[in-house]
Amino acid sequence: MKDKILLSIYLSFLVLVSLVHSYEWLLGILFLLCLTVFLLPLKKREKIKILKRSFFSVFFFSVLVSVPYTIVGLFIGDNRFDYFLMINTRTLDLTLLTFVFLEVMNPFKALDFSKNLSLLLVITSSYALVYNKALKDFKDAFKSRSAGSRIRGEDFKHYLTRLVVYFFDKSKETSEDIYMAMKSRGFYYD
Amino acid sequence: MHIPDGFIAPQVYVPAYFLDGLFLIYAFRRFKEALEERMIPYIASLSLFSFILMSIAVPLPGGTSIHGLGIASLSLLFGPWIAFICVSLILFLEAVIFGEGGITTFPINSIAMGFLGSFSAFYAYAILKKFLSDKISLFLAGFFSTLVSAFFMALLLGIHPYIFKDSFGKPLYFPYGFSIVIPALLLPHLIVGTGEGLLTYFVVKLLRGRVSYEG
Repeated sequence: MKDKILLSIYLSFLVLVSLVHSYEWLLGILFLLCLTVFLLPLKKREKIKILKRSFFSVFFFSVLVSVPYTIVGLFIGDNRFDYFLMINTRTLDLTLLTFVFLEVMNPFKALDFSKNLSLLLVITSSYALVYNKALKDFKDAFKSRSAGSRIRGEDFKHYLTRLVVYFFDKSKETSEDIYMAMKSRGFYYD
Repeated sequence: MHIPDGFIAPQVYVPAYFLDGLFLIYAFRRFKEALEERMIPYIASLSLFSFILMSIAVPLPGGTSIHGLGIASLSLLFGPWIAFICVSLILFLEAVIFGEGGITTFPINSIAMGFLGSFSAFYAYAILKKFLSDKISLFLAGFFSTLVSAFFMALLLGIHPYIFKDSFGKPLYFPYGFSIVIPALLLPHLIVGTGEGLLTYFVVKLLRGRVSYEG
């Protein structure tokens, strides 16, 4: 129940912050969020990691959109610095808000109003880590077997064939494994 | 392309959540009826396959490489509805569980990439194969699906400065109108679409004979 309440609070905050257009207010919210991060029962390194992740997940798109928009404004005599502050602070606020709530609530429990959805999320996210590790091994093996930095087209085609077929067969096996595991745990009524 | 939170107005993303939710509920019900107790394992495993296809970097002439999306491949192999569910599930996991990609932009990405991408690939292939070779039709299906998604995204972003502005006419969310955002999004997606087209041709050719169920 606690997670569902936290999810409702999070979603309400998300919409509310999206509706704020004053950069002074948004900077105030950013200050409160940073304060919340430092009050979280986490190690200092993890707190800095949250702040860093928030900053970098905003940085790329902001550089592409708000920076050129502000610079063009300077050339045409239109002061767009207010917009620059507002959009970047709002983006940072919303991203930080998400990271803060991901620390304090369990998203799987918050979304368990649907048994199927919750099950699907848990299964897929847990297997995603296994698949990611297998993919990394595939990539490393290919790199270590490729002489020099130039990769021949034929070698890449062979690598891609092996990779696609391997993961396709693996996903079929995973499907059967999940089905058997769910059946043995009594998810279906025979 | 991941749009971070803050650039889309709630007047756009809240209805988009409802619309995407309706599409997803309909798609789930379709598969629940068809697959019954095998629905969850089937969707989970295909989503994992979709996750892998999204991670493949396709090399392009000139030494560059781009990440494929795998949406057209999934759509042509398993059907557009299942491709839509799998892509949306992966996008949702990235946004909600791993905190990557915007929460407010999730339904827009899901509709643009998952729904429009899957259906445009499926129908583009169905029409093109009547006039062109299978090889070219597969490539073009992947290519068009990427461009359709990018075009929808551009329309949605580009409409913001016209609707959401303050009393001085300054934008409140995304600042660029159609004349800038459409070419800015479509031109780089010509390259992404080429990679996606090549990936679609390759994956569909390779796996076509091995697929046992089409939704």
